[in-house]
Amino acid sequence: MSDDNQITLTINDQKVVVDKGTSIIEAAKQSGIEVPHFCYHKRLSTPANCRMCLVEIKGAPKAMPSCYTMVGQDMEVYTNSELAQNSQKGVMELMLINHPLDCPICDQAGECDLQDMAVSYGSDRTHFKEEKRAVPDKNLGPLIRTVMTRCIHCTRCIRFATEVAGVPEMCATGRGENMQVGTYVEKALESELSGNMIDLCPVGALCSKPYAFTARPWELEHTDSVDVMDGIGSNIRIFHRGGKVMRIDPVECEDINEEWISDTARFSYDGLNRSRLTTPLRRKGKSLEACGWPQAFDAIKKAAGKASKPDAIAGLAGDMFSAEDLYSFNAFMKTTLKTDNVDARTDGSTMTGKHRCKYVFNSGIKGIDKADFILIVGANPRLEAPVLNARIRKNVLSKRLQVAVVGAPCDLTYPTMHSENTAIILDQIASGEHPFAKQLEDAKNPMIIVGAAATLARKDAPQIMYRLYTIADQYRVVNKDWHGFNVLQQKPGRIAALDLAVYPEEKGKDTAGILKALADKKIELLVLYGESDIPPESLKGAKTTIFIGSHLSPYAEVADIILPAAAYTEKTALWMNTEGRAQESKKAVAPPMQAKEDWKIFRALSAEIADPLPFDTQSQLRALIVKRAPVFENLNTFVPPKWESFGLAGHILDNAFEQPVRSFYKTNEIMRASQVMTECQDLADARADVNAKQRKVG
Amino acid sequence: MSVKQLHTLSVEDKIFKNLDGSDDWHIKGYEKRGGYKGLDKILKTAPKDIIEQLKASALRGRGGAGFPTGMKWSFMPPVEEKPNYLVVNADESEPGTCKDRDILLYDPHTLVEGIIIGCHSLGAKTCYVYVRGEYIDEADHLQKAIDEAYEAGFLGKNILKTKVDVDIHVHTGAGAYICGEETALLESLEGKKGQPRMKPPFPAGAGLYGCPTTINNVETVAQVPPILKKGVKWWTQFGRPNNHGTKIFSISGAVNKPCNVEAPMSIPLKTLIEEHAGGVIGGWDNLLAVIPGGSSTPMLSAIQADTILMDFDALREVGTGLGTAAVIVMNKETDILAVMTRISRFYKHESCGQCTPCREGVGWVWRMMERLSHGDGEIEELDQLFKVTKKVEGHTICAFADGAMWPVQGVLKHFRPLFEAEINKAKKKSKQNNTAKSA
Amino acid sequence: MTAQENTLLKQSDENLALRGARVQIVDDEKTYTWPKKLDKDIKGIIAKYPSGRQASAVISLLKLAQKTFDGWLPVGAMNLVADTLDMPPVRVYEVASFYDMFFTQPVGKHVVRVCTNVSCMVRGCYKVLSEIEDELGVKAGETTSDGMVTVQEFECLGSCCEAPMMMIDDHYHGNLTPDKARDIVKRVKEGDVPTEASK
Ligand SMILES: Cc1cc2nc3c(=O)[nH]c(=O)nc-3n(C[C@H](O)[C@H](O)[C@H](O)COP(=O)(O)O)c2cc1C
Ligand code: SF4
Ligand code: FES
Repeated sequence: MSDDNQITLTINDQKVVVDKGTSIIEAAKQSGIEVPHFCYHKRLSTPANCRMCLVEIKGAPKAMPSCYTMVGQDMEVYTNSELAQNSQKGVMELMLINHPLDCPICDQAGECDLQDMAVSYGSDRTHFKEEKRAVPDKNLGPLIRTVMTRCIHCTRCIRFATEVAGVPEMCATGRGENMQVGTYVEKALESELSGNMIDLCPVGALCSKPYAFTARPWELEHTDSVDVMDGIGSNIRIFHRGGKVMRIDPVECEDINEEWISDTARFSYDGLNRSRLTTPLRRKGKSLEACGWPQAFDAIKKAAGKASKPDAIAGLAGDMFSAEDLYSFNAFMKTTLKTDNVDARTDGSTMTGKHRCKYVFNSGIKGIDKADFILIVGANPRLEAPVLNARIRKNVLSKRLQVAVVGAPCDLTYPTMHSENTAIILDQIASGEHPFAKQLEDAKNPMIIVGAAATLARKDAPQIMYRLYTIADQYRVVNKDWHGFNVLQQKPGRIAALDLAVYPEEKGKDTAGILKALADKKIELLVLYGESDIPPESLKGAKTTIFIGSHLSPYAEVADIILPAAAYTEKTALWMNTEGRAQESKKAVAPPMQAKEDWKIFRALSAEIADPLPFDTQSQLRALIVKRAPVFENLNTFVPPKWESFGLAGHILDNAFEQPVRSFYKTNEIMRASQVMTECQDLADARADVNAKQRKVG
Repeated sequence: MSVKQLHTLSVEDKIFKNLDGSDDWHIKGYEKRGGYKGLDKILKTAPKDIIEQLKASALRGRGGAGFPTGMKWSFMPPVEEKPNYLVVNADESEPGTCKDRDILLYDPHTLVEGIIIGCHSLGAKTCYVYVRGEYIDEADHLQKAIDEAYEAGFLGKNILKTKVDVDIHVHTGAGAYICGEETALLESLEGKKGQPRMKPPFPAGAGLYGCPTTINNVETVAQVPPILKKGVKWWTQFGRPNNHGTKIFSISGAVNKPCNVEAPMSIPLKTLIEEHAGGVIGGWDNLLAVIPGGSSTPMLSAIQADTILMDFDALREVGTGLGTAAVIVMNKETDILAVMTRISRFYKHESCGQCTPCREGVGWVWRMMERLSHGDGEIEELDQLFKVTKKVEGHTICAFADGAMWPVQGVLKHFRPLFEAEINKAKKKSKQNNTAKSA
Repeated sequence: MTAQENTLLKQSDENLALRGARVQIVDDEKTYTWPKKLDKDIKGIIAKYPSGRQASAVISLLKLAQKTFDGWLPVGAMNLVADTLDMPPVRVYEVASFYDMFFTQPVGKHVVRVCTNVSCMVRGCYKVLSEIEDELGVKAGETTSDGMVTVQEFECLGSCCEAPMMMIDDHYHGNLTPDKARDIVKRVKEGDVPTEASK
């Protein structure tokens, strides 16, 4: 054991070998010894201010904070000696003197660090006879409820806001025992990641406002799943009771979301219970009426039978679908209804599933930690993938990474260099004229992040892609040891749709073709699967329109038959995140009332109309999926695809990149149904108004 | 080795010749008193040699902790990419202490000259003087002195053709005792709340703006030039070994003539009070207790005060400290429990609030002091109070919390019977009230 | 020390209300701008610090703002400082609420700070304070109804050899007796603030 980077020490007389630069608290943890702590958090800076983690180090005159003190060769550490225990007990008592005894009404009870540690390290009585301090609560907006009397001043929330979220809005004002944590000026937090403070708060000072008083942790069941509010596939845990989702928390996943999730992932769940389709509906004149599944199926069968030719049938799929959903929809359209007029690229993109490297995040999200220069093209990672943006920020702050942006103006919470917003900058970079070219050239691990939303739906997307390919090639963005060409997909279903070819494969119409045919009254049967960005007016014109989805949407206006499907919490399914990594979500609750899992709907419907699709069970379906796209076989693994050339030579248009996300809190039907998200969006809009006004004045 | 016990200093031996403000504080007055003479010679001496002389002089910091200055200065690395800084601590907020104020007001050039030499010795080109916010006239005098020194060519580029560059900036605080703690001072100087930093890194490695920094008290810095000019021998004739030199004592409280006086180290406390401060009000026999080094240092009983010598080691031996040498005298008319409670309130008010034991503990201790000094409580609670001070002490980032607990431990040690008497009195009274009611 | 003096050791922290630490402030959304004539001063203050370290000027600019805008720091004034120094506003709020000399609530035109710490206490500062409170008809921590004078009980002002002492606006007044203090405060009440230093 003579490795230079290893250190040998003893903790409670137990020999421990750890890497140089490890803190004592981490070293102890690695050897199974828990040291009580509050302020310390491995993803935040270490202020060592709670003083809970004091341990004895032989030879040191005083007990030392184990979170801050690094291991040293042959150090003898005691976490349970008399000195250590007295220190910990003493600090615990002082921590508790001003903490209210309101555990029975505290939402944190049962999962409170303070409660746990008071039991393990505290004494069962206090000698404190004075009055306890009371602190007024703060209004931090619709997501976080505060009970500030419970605050133990660990400053984790402040550090999170400042260091990780990059929105320094939390502060500790005042001094000494009058120090107060909050925003000082009453104000809703502006971060897309603010909910993580709830997890970080070791006590019940910051709680989820929507969850307040709705349940106790021990009454809840939980199911691990995957978030689909954006494209990165954050790992989440869904807490539910009696068939209702009560709460969503992140699950630690180093490769993807570390341990954060966005506010949309955490707080949009009330949208799962609002505006839901719970029974099939049929149009009677102006209104829609509930009917049974058989009646609805019958009506669809008739409409399909009436269609004059397959080309008069078309299907469009939205953005929120799993592999099972998309595969069964695609098969239903192409095999059962025999039409090739199918498209899941409702934003107008014409990209196909050929050359996987052109539409996934090839370096993996973790690759960001290695990059030293990122060129962002037509993306706003802060709004398209807040957690991924926090990862970029972390690396920018540690001074290892610089970021340049070609695209719509945006504040990414860290310093960036912005070029003029026009796509022809890419020509200048390719030809080496633009200063960004030099930076790409000088970087050891250069990275390009292309925003799918603002880039790939452009008319000149193939030309842009060609230019990006040239740039990547020329500046070694992709080489033997490094694959830095990345596409950021905001839409959770897009990569699976490309992998499974949910677009015309022969001579069928794509989205644009379908919309034109609709306008020309050439479509007789239109199948709308889920909502998309296409405005409902453009979808008018088919003789019969079927809508299949989880939420009552504006599309209901144009639909004649509506079938209720399942939301992402209600199905076990495969999701392909922006990296092209397959992950499985588990069914947490059942679809409401008569709603059904999507693949079952298509399977049953196919049997009604023609030969049944060739799968009776989900495992059969999975086998078909894997056959079509083998990448779905290896769950949770990230396989970077082969680097191949892509794009079309030709001119790039001198157009600006558009803002990829207009209403962050309303990007899909679940969020649009959510009351909480509505409140957040209203606040964001009001802020934007004020800013616009100020800009005018200034 | 016999130690010459000096009790007063001749005018020649005084470093702060105008401490009483009787003479001109401007540059003319200072130069007349011998200031800036020989500066060029010192600026031509190699920093290494200057630091060696300081080490030999055993000068110890005058800001409270008494750390050997020569050693502190030797920690500074040679200048590489980052600049080195000298920061002068003029935050003087320790209750009882008012010596730096008089230096700034009446002899500011002693500090300016000290800074010039300090910067040269430390490889620093820039010095910030952190003056407490309330010292408005004082900061003003210092700024004027700096302006005069620039004009006379003692500051700026290539001072006296020695290739030494020094700039001094005055930075004022805004009222927070904790900013006297050196790392809190740096935070405050960087534009943040004055909350002490964890060490390491130590300021000599990464201090102000992450650059190597040395922080010294006003008096310490001002004492350097005379040591270098008059020699180590001159300096070490005063005071006992390891405690050498002259020192300003601030004597306040129940004395007839409160004053700042520069006297030799190791002077007996009794002499200091009797000869320099006009004696205790009501006579030496009327003495109750003395706080020897600012409010953080545990008090001395009248008996201890009789014989104690005023230096770092002598006071440490009896469980207290020289601190800032702010002698606060209390006589028998003083309600000592009330005064000590007031001191506890001060610490409660000034805690920066980051460490749990300090944030919660000082308030608890003050509230207990408040109650028990009025007899509201039980005698056992006095033990409890002591235990609480032990839970706070030694468990925090900075020494503030220790300084907040020591005076309480001191009063419990020396005046526990007074608390007990109050408690018994209150008990008797409530008993009487009860019997009166039931009768 | 008499019992009456003892009760002056107040349980509540009178300066807190003025520092605004107790309440969450609602921003009045008023915007503040520096008077043109201060441009040079502001530049001079910032120039003391290395480039990129302009946050170091925050205390000085808050003081300037406090002097310029009615003796206290409304949210808008703090935002102005944040803007001038390119700091997140919360970092400025933290600083403003940390230091005793800043007010985040309105105060009187003149501020009388009476030191009541140990050296002054031994020499009878509470008699001086109650004399001043009497004369002004307010308690420490309060402002006279005409908005002229705010009285504060203050921690050691570092002038212990002139105890008991007080600070009025920018100047020290030492060696006080209750009578002397009353006379000085009487003048302050009328707007005639003595500026002579104490010695
Ligand atoms: C709570 C606290 C307050 C302090 N206040 C002061 C002060 O007001 N002035 C001062 O010079 N040193 C003060 N110090 C000491 C400084 O931290 C530091 O030791 C000193 O400035 C070093 O200078 P010196 O070596 O010249 O003594 C304080 C220390 C503590 C822990
Ligand atoms: S001991 Fe007190 S003053 Fe010092 S850092 Fe900790 S909380 Fe702040
Ligand atoms: S966890 Fe180490 S001091 Fe808080």
